[in-house]
Amino acid sequence: MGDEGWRDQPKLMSAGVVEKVASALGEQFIRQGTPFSVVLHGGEPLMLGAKRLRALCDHLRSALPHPCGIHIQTNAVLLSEEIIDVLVAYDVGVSISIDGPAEVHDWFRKDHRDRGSHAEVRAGINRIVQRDDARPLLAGVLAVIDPRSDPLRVYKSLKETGAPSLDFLVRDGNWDQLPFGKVSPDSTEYGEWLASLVAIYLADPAPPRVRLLDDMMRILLGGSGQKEGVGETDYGIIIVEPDGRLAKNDTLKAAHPGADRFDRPWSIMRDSLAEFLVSEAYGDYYGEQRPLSPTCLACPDLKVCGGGMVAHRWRAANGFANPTIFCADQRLLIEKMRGALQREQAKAA
Amino acid sequence: MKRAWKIADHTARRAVEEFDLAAPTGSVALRRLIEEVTNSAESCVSSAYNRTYHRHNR
Repeated sequence: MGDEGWRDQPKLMSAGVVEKVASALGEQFIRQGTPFSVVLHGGEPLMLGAKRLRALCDHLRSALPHPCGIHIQTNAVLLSEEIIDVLVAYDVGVSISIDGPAEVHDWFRKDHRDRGSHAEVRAGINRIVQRDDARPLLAGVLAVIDPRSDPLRVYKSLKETGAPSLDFLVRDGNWDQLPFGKVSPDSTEYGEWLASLVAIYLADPAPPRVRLLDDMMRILLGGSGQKEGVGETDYGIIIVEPDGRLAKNDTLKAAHPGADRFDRPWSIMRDSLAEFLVSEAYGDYYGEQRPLSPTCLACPDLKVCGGGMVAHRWRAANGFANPTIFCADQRLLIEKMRGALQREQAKAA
Repeated sequence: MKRAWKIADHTARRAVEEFDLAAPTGSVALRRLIEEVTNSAESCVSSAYNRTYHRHNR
């Protein structure tokens, strides 16, 4: 699903916006006391280049000392030694987008010449893994699922990167536009793929972390989730666009163009972040992540799936008051997960 | 209406335990999760694993 929101934004965040963002976030950290993370994402954030990235990180780290986190989500193609030096200097955590082995990754991820990017991404991962000072920055790799692929091949391929954690996303879609690979709302292609992954993961004698599965299983075991779109934890996510505009979670763009925008155009350049965070607009947006559908509210699995990603609940006829389009997948996955956990315990008893 | 929300306000609610956490398991991944849930629900909050990432699939 295409994101066209960048068309009305400058290509780069200006130095003035960077300074304002850093100072506003620094003031917010002091005000609220509890730490939070800033994630640089795009597009491709490394297109900033080393010099601009250093300036950005310098401002952010000055305003947001540890334990606040600075992280970057990148395709790693531009992850040069010079860029890695910057990430090390400012302790910027790195998550790299790679979808599995070349034949899976290159199906969707191509460069502007229509060539698959897998080899370049793997080279970028190797550059960070091979440096003792940079390896601890690699928090994980993030894959978007192709339900036609072999989960075992994908798992092995991602594990071979040396990343300590793997994470998986479903492809965006909603009730008006089915996600790639899903033939109907009731079909369970993604649920079956993830259920296979559960079996692979639980049988691995030396498993990396698998964030999506860990979160769901931790909830089933009585713990809590820490991933957006899973469980009943609420997340306060704000997007700052290159021109300083404040926007809702950018994943909402998968619902419809402009779904991430506030009615009133808030801007970090003009408005106080403190006022924004207590505004009715922000409060309403924050509340929107909680499921509204009667189906969800009556569902025994709601505590595990949390209603899924808000964007995936969208239907033009009634907005977000629906279960996720992945509801059938989620229910199948949770059922298989419960069974797998019970079998594991029975096996060992 | 004014509400004092915070950035990254994680108000997790504990789910009802459905499994016997004292039961042994041969799965390394499961054992790791059981240890976390048993010892502390927030045991890995500060680790890199839990860093919050945005999606990157468009």
